[in-house]
Amino acid sequence: MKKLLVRMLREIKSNFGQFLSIVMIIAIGSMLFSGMFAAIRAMDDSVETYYEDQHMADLWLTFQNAGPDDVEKLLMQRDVETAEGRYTVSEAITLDGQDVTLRFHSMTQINSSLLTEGTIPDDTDEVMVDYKFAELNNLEPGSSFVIKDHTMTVTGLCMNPEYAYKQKDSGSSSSVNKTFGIVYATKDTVKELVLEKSMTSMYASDLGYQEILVRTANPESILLFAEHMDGYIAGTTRAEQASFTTVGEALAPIRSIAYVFPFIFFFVAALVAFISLSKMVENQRMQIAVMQAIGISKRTIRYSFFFYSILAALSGGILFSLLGNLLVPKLLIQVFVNRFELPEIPIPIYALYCVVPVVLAVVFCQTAAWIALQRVLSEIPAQAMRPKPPAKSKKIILEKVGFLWTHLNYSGKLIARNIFLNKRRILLSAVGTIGSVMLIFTGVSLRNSALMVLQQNADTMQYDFNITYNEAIENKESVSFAFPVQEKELTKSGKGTLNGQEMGYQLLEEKSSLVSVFDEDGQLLPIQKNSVILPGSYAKENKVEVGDSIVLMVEDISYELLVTDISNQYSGSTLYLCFEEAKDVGMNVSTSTILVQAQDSADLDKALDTLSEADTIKNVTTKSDVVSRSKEMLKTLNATILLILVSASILSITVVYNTTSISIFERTREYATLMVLGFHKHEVNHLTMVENLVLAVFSCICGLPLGFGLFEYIAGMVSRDNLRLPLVFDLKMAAVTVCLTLLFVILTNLLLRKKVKDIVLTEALKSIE
Amino acid sequence: MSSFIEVKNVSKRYQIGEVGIHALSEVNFTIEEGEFVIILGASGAGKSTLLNILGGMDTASEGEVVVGGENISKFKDRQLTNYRREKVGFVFQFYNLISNLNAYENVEFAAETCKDHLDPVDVLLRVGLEERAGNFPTQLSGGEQQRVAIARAVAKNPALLLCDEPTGALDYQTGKKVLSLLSEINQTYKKTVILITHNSLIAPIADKVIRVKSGRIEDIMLNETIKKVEELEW
Repeated sequence: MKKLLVRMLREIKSNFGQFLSIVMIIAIGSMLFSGMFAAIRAMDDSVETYYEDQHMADLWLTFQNAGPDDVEKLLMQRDVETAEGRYTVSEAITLDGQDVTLRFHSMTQINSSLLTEGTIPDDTDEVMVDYKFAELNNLEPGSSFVIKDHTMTVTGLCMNPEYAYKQKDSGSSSSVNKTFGIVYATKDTVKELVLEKSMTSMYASDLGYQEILVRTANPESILLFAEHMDGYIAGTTRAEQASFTTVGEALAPIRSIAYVFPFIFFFVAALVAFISLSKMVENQRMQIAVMQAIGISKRTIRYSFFFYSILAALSGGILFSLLGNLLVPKLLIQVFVNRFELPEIPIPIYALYCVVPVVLAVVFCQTAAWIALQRVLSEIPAQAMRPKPPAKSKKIILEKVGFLWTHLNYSGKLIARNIFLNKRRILLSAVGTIGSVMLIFTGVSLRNSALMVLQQNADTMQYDFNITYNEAIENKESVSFAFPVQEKELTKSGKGTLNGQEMGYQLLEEKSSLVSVFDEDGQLLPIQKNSVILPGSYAKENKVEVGDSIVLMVEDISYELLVTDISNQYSGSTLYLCFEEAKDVGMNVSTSTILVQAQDSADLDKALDTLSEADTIKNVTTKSDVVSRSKEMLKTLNATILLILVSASILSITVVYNTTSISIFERTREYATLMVLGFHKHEVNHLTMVENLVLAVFSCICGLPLGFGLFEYIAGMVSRDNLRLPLVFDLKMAAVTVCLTLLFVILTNLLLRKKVKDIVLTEALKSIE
Repeated sequence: MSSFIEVKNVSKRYQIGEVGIHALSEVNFTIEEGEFVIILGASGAGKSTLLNILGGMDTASEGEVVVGGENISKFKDRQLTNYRREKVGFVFQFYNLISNLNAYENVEFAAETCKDHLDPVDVLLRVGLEERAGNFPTQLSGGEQQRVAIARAVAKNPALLLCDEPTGALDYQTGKKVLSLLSEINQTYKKTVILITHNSLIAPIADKVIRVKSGRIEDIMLNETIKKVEELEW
């Protein structure tokens, strides 16, 4: 037995490339498997822990003026764990010459902040500030700012689960870290600010809370109860809370990918390892027969081969599943955390995710070795000792096409016969390549899809600025700007409900040229007087067609609208209405927002400066702001896709390397014969290269449709209400995939040149082993 | 006048790890054009090494090998390949036919590698296999395969035909047929044939017999009374 193991070790050493490629394949599979699962688990766990540790509220209730008795009333409710009132006020101040909005909250147990630096404020006019705002505005513990006649001293920096994703108001979807800060202070400090701001003079003792935070297992029913309380304004459950949902939505696509992809990837890797191992055993056929002839038991022979497969599985599996667990999450988490205000996400070693791929790898490799060994061991040793009878050579289909065949040179004939006569072998070799073509195509298609989303986003906006004034615009012609303007149009955005479903709407001018709405075929939908353009996702889901009427509820008033067109929106879903139509059905069309396209697109920065200086303007968003924001939204997805692409490429190279090196090994004799006949080495290399290229093309033909299927599946899983990846079989992406695959084949063949070069003619031809 | 092949002081050493093996030491002989030469020796005597060096499949560690006026011991890899392509035909013990090409294609394919080749159909006719031209190696018997291999070597119209134990894997009768085919080719095409074997009973058919032992030439004997293959018994 010991001798056999030594033999096996020598076998590994002499054919290290092959061993290494099996190890590599298992390694990549395991790495991705443990890595993806660990990443999503670490993110989920960490976010969940953060929410729990900081006692994130389940329900936010805003009141006119809630007293301690209101808090008591809520506490009396069944399922209410705790409830707390807090003072909240927003202040607009100038910081470093820039207008910023600060939202003050009195500190509470529920939604308690996590201190990142400094200390918690405990005196009047001491505050702690959210760290991203602080960072961008050069605030640190010790610095101070002025509000009215208070000088606020910053004692600490913090983050808070309710503002993991900061939004100024529910209408805008922007996270503006530089101009919007969250400030926490003692009750007295905030109460003072609220008092000073309240129009009516009020005694301090009468001033109640603006918000009550509730921790409860049943937020829906508590909300129903609260709606009937005095002074109730609005309530938001955690499931509707902007930050909570945004974080959840950022995690969701990674989660869907993380649950599907590693399995498919691992499956392909395992299949390739399976094939390589069984080939490796088959190539040792005569050796095995000799061992049997000598009288070594089948069991011992089996063990020595299991040693090989287990060694490959373990050395690939253990190290790389650990490495995957440590490295992959880092990459994904980095991109994820940057977008939000979240604490550092620790990456623990998840034993389960590391063990599963190793166990799977061992099982796959063992089974492969077992099956191949069974086939060899079942032969009579005397028979197995002789070389395997070559595949029955016969005429292939191609030869019947006489014209083609006679025009094929000998290399061509050899390659053609080789492929057609060894269909099984070739098919097995192709499996790995098909798998990697599939994965690469899925990756590039996902990426292309994400880019299309961005592109549509940008295409929709033909304007440069979206400007909201403090007061309603009576006449757009009277609005003037300090820079030459190409085009200006009024617009109005709002929120309503359609059929109980929340739906944002936007009013546009007739024949609007600044907002482009597209239909399913990517054609521009002109805005007409009666235009009511329903987002395709809603139309499909609720089976609404052009000509149907819908009822839009805005601020408890319902408006009946006739759908004129269905739009296709990859990200977000907005109901577009023409001002005329809105006016006709009686909607409030008074707006303070105007879209502006500057004449000189090179001078946008200067134009923006003039806009920011005007005090009649409440808010300006630029097109590039919106575009970069949506880019950010897709960043995590992109990182995941990149990971898929890189691993698929490595898999592809390894697979081609493996199959090619095995095929060279199996045909050493034939190659040697060719070289004796006077074939130059480069001609022999050319033979392998062409054969591999033909195989690669075949793999592409099979792999592309499969890849598209996988892409459709994953894109379907990733898509949700406000982000739908377009399912397009993009020829350019197919071309990219084919080129990449061919490139990998050529690269690997260059790597393997040495193998052919190293064939020693006299050895290869000496005798049959 | 110099001979067609001149082997001068050729030595071959293999270095395998620490161990150096002398496969050939100081070998000298000449072969004339058109001669039928048999190199005779026991297993491991160095005869295969000698043949490989003559055929440009291996290189000598020391000494010179001149074939047709060219010193092939100085050749680079590429030149050696060209030498094999244009000048040498090989016949192996185990035929080494390309399994995915049929008999005719095997011959034609080899012939096409060199400029001045013979008509593959003619050669196949000569070895008596015109009927089996469309068959693949697996569909041929050992003797037939060896005849295809000979046809393949001959079709290239090489100056030198090197045969490494061509009868080693064949039975007595078939072996004899192959030998007579080789001697016939030697006579009709005036090709220089070098054949190596451990079977001394074949020796009488050769013009010249070179005996090799432990990497050295034991003796070189010109055959006065050349026997026909049919007269051989072993």
